Amino acid sequence: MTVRSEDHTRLDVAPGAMDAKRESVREGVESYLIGLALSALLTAAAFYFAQSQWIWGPSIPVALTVLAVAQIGVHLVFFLHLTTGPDNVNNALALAFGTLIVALVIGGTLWIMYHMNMNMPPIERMPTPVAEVARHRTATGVIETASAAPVAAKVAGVVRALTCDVGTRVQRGQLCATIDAPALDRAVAQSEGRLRTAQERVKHDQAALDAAQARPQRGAGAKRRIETLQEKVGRDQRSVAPLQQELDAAKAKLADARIVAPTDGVVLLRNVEPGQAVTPNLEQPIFLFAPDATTVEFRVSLPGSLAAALKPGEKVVFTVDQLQEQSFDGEIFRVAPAQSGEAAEVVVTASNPRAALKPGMKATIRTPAE
Amino acid sequence: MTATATLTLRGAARLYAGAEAPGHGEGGPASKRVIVGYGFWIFLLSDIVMFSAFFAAHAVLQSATDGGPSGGDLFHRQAVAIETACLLFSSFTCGLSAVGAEARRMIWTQAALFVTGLLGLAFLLLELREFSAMIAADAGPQRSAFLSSFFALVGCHGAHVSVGLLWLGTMMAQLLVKGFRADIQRRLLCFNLFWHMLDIVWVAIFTLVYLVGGAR
Repeated sequence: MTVRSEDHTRLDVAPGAMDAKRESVREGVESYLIGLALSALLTAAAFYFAQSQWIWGPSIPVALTVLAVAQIGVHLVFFLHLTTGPDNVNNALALAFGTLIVALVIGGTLWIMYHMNMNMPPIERMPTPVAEVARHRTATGVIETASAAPVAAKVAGVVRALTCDVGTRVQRGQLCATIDAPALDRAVAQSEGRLRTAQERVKHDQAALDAAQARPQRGAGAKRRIETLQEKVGRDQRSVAPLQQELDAAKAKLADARIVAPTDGVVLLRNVEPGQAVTPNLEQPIFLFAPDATTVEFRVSLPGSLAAALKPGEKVVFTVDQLQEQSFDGEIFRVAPAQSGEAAEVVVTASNPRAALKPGMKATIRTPAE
Repeated sequence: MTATATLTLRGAARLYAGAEAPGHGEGGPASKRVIVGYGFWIFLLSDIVMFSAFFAAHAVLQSATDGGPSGGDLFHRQAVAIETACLLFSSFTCGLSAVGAEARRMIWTQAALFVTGLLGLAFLLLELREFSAMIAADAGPQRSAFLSSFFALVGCHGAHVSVGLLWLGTMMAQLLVKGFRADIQRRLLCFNLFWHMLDIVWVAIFTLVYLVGGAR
């Protein structure tokens, strides 16, 4: 088991150690001095080239990297005494493996991230900018299969036409009943009358003005008369626009006389007969609709002030945590008014044709915060 | 009979020593110094692999400044040059301490280690001053992804230097009390490796982070 002296060079040597080479103190110091001088030179070169105009700008990073690799080599050889000799095979192999891993980690990261950046939309087109989140309030509810939806009349009147019966399959928005609502018709008629009066007044005053202007004008009296008429026409014209809006609103209100299915589904109950008088009362719904299995709903609590801004039928977008924050379109179905300052309950429905939304998932809506 | 058996065993042992048997290199098992040094070398390489992850993150996030300051606004080339010089000279004096330890010269070794420690401390103080100036100028790690990765990478190196300084202090004390025992020599060897590795990582940092990144 003896080791012959000439075997010394074939022994392994510890990394960073020089003992096996039997270097003298002088040789040892020399090695470190050479390493220091070369490293200082390479460092100085790196700092110099980094801000010099000597080399083409875009190639500076490459030049600096080459200098750094050279300096690391100098460190390995003169400070860590790593050689290519047979006594250093293990050390050099470990180093080579480490270098491989480092190259894989850094190179792989840069490569992958470069391609991801290429495929990213510009930052200003990204959804959910941070600044916008702050101006919104979120509310979360649990998704469940939609419950039966009662529909009441929105206006007092007499049911005229019934097109839905128990068991009828309906689609969202399908007309189920029409209510004769004299109040609505009256409102429209009155608005129309007022508008017509105003328009006639404009016509009449304009004619008077035209006639006055057509006459030869003599004296200050005629001039003043024309000015008065012009003022009058302007006043008449200004009064028309609000009346037009009033009429539009009254006509829009007529839609309240149409009872439509709120969701896809089946009519479960019908509480009216043709000719029956109804009143707007949610306690006495005239229809009950059973939504399709493809419709889901969830309830969220919102402060009364925020809920008041939401109208049934309004579109909302909600996200689902379990589906990677994917966005879905929903619709405000009902807003239960807040009771004495408490939070209001808002029911949101969404059609779910591909059954991606499953009961129990958490849905979050965002509403503008006051 | 017994003699023959002994002879056979001796022959087998000689064969064992010369052949490339598993676990034993040529000339028998390696010395403890080689094994310890090699083990520490493997650890250092794994440490460098960890650093490479921080480097990769920083390279990816170098321009993610979120409208905040970039490297060109923050880095002072002169300060970095002084830090680099400190670390390079400390690496040199650390090497001198290894030569001194090899020659078993106590005062030489201790003095070289002491200077190494002073230079390391100077480096660390300069770095801390740089960090605190950046944080005071609202360019702390929370400011942008670029600065997060910068503080993670350079701070990780600084933490290594701090640990190295503690180690250096204990090595000086151990050397003083226990002298040039074989185990102390092995620890000095490992410390040397560690300190040189820190300088190698710093070469990559000052090149990629400060010089290349500072041009942005």
